[in-house]
Amino acid sequence: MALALQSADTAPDIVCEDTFQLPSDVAAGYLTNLSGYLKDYKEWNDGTFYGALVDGVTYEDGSVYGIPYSTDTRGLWYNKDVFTAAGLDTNWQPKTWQDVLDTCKIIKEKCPDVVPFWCNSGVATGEGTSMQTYEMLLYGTGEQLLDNNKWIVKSDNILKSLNFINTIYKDGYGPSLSKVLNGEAGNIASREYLPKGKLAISLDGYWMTGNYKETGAAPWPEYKDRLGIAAMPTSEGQAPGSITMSGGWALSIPNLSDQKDAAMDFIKHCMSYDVYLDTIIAQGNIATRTDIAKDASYSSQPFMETCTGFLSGAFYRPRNSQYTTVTTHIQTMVESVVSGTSPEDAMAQYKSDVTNSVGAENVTEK
Amino acid sequence: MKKKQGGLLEEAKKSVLLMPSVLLLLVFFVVPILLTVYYSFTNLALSGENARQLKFIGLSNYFTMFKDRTVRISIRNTLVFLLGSLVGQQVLGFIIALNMRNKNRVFRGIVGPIFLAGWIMPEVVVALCCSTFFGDSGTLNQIFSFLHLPQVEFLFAVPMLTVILANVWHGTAFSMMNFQSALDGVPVDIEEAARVDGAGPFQTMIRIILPCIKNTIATNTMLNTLSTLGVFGLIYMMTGGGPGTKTLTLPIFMYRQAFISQQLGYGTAISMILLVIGIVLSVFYTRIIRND
Repeated sequence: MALALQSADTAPDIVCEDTFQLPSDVAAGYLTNLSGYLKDYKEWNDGTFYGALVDGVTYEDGSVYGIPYSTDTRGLWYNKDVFTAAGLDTNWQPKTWQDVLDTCKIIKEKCPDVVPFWCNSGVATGEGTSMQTYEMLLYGTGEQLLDNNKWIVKSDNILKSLNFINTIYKDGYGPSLSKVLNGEAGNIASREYLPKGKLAISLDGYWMTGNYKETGAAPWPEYKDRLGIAAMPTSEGQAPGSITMSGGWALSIPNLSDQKDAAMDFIKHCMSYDVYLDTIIAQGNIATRTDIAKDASYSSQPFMETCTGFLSGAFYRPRNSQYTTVTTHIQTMVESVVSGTSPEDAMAQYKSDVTNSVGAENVTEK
Repeated sequence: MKKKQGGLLEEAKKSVLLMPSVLLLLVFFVVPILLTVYYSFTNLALSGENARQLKFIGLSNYFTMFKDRTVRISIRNTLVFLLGSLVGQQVLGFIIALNMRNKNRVFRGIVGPIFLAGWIMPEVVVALCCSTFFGDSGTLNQIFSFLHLPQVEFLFAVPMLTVILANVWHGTAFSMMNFQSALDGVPVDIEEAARVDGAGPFQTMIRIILPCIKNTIATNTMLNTLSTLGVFGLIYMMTGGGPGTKTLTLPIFMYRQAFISQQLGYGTAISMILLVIGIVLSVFYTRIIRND
């Protein structure tokens, strides 16, 4: 994609950007500054779009480089049938990480054939491993990836997060490595294991439920009643009690596009109320327009209210052009722990990798 | 005088005829290599601020490399993979060639192609075959369960051994062919003379056969070294360099740095290590041959 954006011959007129990639591509000069186009875009200026998401597509220079078209939140999805079989309350809300582990333990004892816990854990699942797993844990300890714009490469909280992952696999709560260190891991969990009762708890994003709709990849008519969602607790239950990371995608116009006006008109068309309402319901994602959030046909979707509710306290990934590189080191670190490297060694590896990539002046220890 | 003119004309003709291939070599071989060397001294990146401003940064990438733990790990992994593959391919190839020696044509005609099958297959197919063979519910584990042995997640429990075995399966036939032709060249009368003088099979092997094919062993080792150093697809498809960094060899690490972390400059600097290892080992092997 980066190569396509570098040449006028291959640059498309519209590009979907994961918002974590946005700062890096803006820094590279790949994307058009949209601020000029937005002056007469009424919905953009009257607060129709969520403020936090507008921030997410605004670069350090204060200009906008994309129109957010989807967002998401993450949490602990659980199969109520498995919980019933294990004698657990189907109205589950863990308060601490230990609660999650305790629940896993009970499930492992009562239902030995069921995988208790699944989270993206490998390099192959890419950003999913960084965001759905590691950052959900790290931000739940109260720490973030950056401190005063410096990457934290060594801390007790990194270790704490890695130790949680280590416990999951060491104590046999996780799936087999061949299933989870696989590019298809997310789909195996959400389309196969969870609906079939082979998996109890899955740490994943709201979009997962898109699979279960009639039009989805793994229709599951009863998912509304058989599936539960719990907020991911903070490590010791400290305030705010639960945590979610939020990301999303934006529509951007490459700098080398030769049809920028038409591209912007098309984006506005895609984001107009009726078109966008149909799109976002079909996508199974969370809307970026506040007025859509109030539309009954959208908000009546199962779990929508809960997951949209998570948005209010959501954390976003660092708006830093180095994140695209650092995230790959996070994935290696997590996969190392999962495959038997000690959390201490994995963190030392992470420190070395990040320091090399971003420079010693941009890292810090806690 | 006349003759000399003809010679000049001849020379000119040769040069003209050579030009296309020289040009092609320059454009598609020499220039990319020089560019790669140049890029390894720059901050070339696919995204981020560095993508906008290509800068010459001197030896900076190389200094980073010396401090990089992952570089050390991947050099170690590359050497383990290289050594394992070399020993496996050559010992196995030699044993097969030795056993097929002096057998009748029909036997050689049937057994040879079976081993060759692994070699003629593209890397991708080899990777797929081996992944399914060593997989969780793969052939090997099926055999294990039939024998009431415990199931092993080969690709995760012993990933390096698994990719080495896959590469050995892929490459053994090449060594086998080389050794076959070398063994065919060992004069039968010397062997017979040795036997008459009272040498056992072991002594014949050490004193007669091995010295006779010494050069083939060296050449074969060099060719295998160079092809093994560059193995990418096989490992990438089977383990992706993982789990963690357990099968992260230099080509995979180079790819990850250049295209996943989008640091092309650093990636090309890592490729220079491969080049250096390749050159050092080639020089070493050619020395051995020349000393003969």
